[in-house]
Amino acid sequence: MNRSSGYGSREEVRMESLKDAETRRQPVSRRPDQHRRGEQYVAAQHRPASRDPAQYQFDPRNNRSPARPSISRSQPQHRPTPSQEDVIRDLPLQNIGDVSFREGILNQPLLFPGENKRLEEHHVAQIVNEMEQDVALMEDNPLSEQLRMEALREMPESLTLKRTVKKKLVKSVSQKSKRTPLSIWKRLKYRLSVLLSKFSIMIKNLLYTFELWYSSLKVIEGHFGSGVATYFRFLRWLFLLNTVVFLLSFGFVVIPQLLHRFYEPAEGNQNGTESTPSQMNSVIFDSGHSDGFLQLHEEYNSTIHLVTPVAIIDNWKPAPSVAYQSQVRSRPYASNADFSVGNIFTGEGFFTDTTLYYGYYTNESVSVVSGLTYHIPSAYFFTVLSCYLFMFVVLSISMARSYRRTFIETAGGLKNVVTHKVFCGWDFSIATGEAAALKSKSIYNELKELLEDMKKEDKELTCQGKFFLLIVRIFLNVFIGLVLASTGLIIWFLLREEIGVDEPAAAERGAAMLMPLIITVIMMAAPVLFSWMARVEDYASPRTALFVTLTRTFVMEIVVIGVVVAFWLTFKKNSECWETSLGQEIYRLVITDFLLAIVGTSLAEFVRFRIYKSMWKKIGGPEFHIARNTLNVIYNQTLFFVGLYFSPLLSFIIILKMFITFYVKKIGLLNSCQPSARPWRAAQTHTLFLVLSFIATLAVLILLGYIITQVESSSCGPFCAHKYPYEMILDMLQVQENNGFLQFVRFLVKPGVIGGILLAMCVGVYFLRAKSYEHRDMVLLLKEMLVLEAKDKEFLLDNISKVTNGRWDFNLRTDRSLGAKWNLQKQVRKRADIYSNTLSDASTSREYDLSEYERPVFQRGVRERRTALC
Amino acid sequence: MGNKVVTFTEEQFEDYQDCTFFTRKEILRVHKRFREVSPDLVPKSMTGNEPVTVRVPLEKMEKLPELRENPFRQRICQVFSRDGKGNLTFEDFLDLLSVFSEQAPRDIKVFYAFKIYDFDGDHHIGAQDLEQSVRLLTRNELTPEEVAQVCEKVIEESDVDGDGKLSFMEFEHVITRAPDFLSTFHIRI
Repeated sequence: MNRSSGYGSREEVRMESLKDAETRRQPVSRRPDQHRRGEQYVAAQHRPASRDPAQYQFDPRNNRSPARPSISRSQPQHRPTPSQEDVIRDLPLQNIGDVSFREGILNQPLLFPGENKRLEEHHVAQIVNEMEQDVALMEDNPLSEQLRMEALREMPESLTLKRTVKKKLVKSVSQKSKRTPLSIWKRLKYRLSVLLSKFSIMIKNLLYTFELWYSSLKVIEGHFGSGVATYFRFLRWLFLLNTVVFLLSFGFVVIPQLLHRFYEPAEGNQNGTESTPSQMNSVIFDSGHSDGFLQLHEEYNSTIHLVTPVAIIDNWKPAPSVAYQSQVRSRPYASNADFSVGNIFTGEGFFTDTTLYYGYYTNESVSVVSGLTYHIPSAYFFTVLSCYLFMFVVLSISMARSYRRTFIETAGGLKNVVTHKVFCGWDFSIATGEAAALKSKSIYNELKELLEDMKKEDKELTCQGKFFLLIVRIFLNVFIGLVLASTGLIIWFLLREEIGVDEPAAAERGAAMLMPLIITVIMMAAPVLFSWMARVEDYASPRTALFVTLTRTFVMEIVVIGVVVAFWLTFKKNSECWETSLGQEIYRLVITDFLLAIVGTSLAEFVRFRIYKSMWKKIGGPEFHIARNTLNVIYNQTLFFVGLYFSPLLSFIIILKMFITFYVKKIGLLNSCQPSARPWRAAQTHTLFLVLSFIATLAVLILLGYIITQVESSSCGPFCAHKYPYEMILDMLQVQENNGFLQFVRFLVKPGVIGGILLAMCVGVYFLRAKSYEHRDMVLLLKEMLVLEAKDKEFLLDNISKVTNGRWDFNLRTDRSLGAKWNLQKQVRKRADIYSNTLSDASTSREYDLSEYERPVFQRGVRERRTALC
Repeated sequence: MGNKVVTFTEEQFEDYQDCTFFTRKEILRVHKRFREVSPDLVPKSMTGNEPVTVRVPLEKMEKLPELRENPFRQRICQVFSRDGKGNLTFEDFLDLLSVFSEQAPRDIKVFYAFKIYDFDGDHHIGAQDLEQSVRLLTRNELTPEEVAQVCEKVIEESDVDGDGKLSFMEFEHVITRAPDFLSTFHIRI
């Protein structure tokens, strides 16, 4: 192809395509990252500079020697058309990164190893030049320094080069700065921002030092890929979340309660007699529980004061023989039932009257330091409430973020299945040979499957088949409904048995452990059953099947927990303190789940692995089921959400359990599991898990609201003085019954009002959804236009080069015979006119854009051309 | 003073922190990893010019556990090395890990992913580049026809301007919509 004749004009054309590339880029790339604002600012500053033809002076491709090695090697038959070749060059200067992207490519050492040094110097000079033009970047203050560093950090350049750039920038900044005295306000601002950035770096360093289970995660990722690691990361995330909750509840509720137990005077029981040491000793031995609990002696005025064993407030029975003066007690649990090992599993007996459960907490104030009182009921109320709100907020934020990242920003990307497989298929964190071999194998299989699918894509089910499938699905759904209902019923009857509603003697037979055992077994069996059902139902994609299974299992969880809670709310009269009983129920569920689902499963996996290794190959090695395990974690978390209100120390048990779970699972995974050959869409499933946890929290919050406001509290616990727990707040705030605000709140929580609000929200959601569909259609339309535009540009540029080669007339004449194309040629000529206008007046580059009026006509033309060509 | 060896000067630390996504401790860890690759070549103290001048050859770099199993390991080293042959200096290595770290933003990852997949360095991912990627990914198990089919499909899916190869913009467009890209384009050190 002869290009010399049109060279000058092509330069212009390139300018045009630069603009074109810009307009093209607009709909394509939305940049969601917030932290690039600095650069976008920079970009705005730099855009004019990019139009400068001098920009291209270091462009190796400007000296277009016919035998450019790389191109001719890779694409021998294909002459790159201008539009293609210029795309990279014409990347809009969105940010500094892009500037250097273009130049980085131009300077690629692969192409020009000899000129490396010289090009590099140019390159550095160019970047420095570019950056120096920006006023905001070059000021001599910390803010702009931060901006500078951000820009530098996100520049895709080699580190060595960046360092040189940095040095030069620092030099030029210090040269430029005029050292004018700063105002106090500005100085303060700078100092603050410097402090802030230093602080954030420090925090980062600190967090990095304490990154939990870092090496474990690395080992797991190396062996099993990032899919399995998501389970462990999720577990770690929940562990940290629960640790915060534990610290809150322990610090604000449990410790004050313990202090109350130890330090509070035994009211009304002090006869003022001082106990002699001998008496005291006898008391200690008399009340002797040999279970080794704290026996606290306190040396005070050379006499030893005894410390009383105290029971909870409502069944407080003063020790008849000895009276105590001291305010310090030991053995706060002395009046509890004897401790036995079984209690660890049932949570009853000794544990009933401990800080573990709601019923133990007092409704009084603690005053360790005289004059300062700490009101335990309000502490309990607000701490638990803030724990719930904390978890709720954290969950909703992370859910929203994850949802945005995996569903909204990637919307419409699902069409590029093969591309994603090729470009994102490899997991770069894999570090062991087996895992790598397996990954290749799985990519191979998936590509094969995709190819197969392409061949029989239009496989339509017959009407009969569809009908059959529909019947199967309906049947299975009904069946699942029945399973759920019967599970609920079983639990209900087991619970009745347990508290002996029907026959009181049954309560003695240890029915307490039966219910949690059965529930746990059901919870373990349900996912297996459901995934088998999903296979029968024959969903179009494995992802849908997975989602359906997960949702069903989750519903199962909700049913189980819901029935337990509903039972205790119904039969609360059967227990002295139903809150404690419910807490115990949850405790038992947590413990049995740990024993069966975590330790038990791991052991079973280990045994299976041994059998597989040593004698029976057919059995197949155990695999790690990410979905099942994660659901188990969510179940656990839901139990915790429910149980926290009834048992503040449950947080401790949960974090202990999660801690052990992590190690049990890790050891089980590394020793006896095989990596799965099935792919795992980590990001999207992770979002689903977050959504499920979020729903669980929301449900628990609603339940809690109901319990606090509608369910009468029993005669134990911090709120026993009030009929409903929330009245405590009203008391505290001394709100009168006819207070306007209270009336307003009462009005707000009326069913009608709530229904109205919900309705309004539904309408809002519907509106936004409709809008989003509208946007999606618009995006599709724009995409189509983009493709047409590109095709059309290519075609035009082809013709332009023909015009410049003087072959236009020839083409025109031959084409005239094809009547269908005539219209199109007219359009092309119009475009060519515009081009020639641009050539004559390079400054008015705007005219290239077709006006809104012309565009549809033109596009019709292109479409016609395409059909004609077909 | 004692026997404590100073690995980097304060100025170097500052530069590295400013130009990468790493904290001081991570930089030291990277150095440790780098030394493990070739203890006889890499000195303990790098306060002078060593981070730029000491080159660890490609054959040794490939032995790094994090890269050993990666089908693109050679290409990764080439992209990040300043001599273009895959021999890495410390700064190159730090750069490499910084891009693959969790903190690196999507854009910079996409940029380097493009460079890695662009085997012949012609600034486009053409059919040949794709073919090579697919072969490396599947360890040459697919038949040539199947490879060709896959490549054709990829281009059909993501080539917007119809030139039969992917430009950076097209690549970026596809990749930013891949939900798993960020989680898989990641190397833990």
